[in-house]
Amino acid sequence: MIILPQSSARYVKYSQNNKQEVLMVLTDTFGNYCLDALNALINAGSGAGDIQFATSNAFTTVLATPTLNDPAFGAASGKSMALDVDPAIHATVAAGGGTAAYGRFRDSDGTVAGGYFTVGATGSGMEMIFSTVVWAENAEIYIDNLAVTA
Amino acid sequence: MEIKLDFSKIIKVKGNGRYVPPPAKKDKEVADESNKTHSDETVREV
Repeated sequence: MIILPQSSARYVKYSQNNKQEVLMVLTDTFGNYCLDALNALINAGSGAGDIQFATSNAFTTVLATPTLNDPAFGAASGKSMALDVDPAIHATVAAGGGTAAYGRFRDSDGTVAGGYFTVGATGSGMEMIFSTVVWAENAEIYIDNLAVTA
Repeated sequence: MEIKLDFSKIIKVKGNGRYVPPPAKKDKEVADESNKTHSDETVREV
């Protein structure tokens, strides 16, 4: 497979070990293909997928697991796809609570789809933002909007 | 040249969520529970 970079966005840099790195901008077609594939993985189980929110990227302490709609995302367009949040996506924080730091998508069988993303409070610059990430037991968290881009 | 696709750099998430604190017990409810005595229970004379 040959992926041709857009010439205006292409650059070459050399890292410390002198390996050549080339930034390539994905075509819309290929970007949409990647996103639709991720959506298919999330929807792969017999039911709707979910998002796990946890205190670390090891996901040993999971704070909340909101179930997604099925399919979870609309079809990708312009290298972006939006999470379906109607009906609302929400979950109750598990016993003990904790500080949310990472999230990841799974299918209904618990198989992880894609990597993890970061979670932070307003102004943190993380990927998923909540007004607070210190979550108390029995609190309710809602996902108002979420987009995945390529 | 070796070409690797790093999906952690290709796929990016951007979203906003809401946190709704657990319902706090009303002061009256807490007081009612702590002050509950036998006198609150129905006593029948026989």
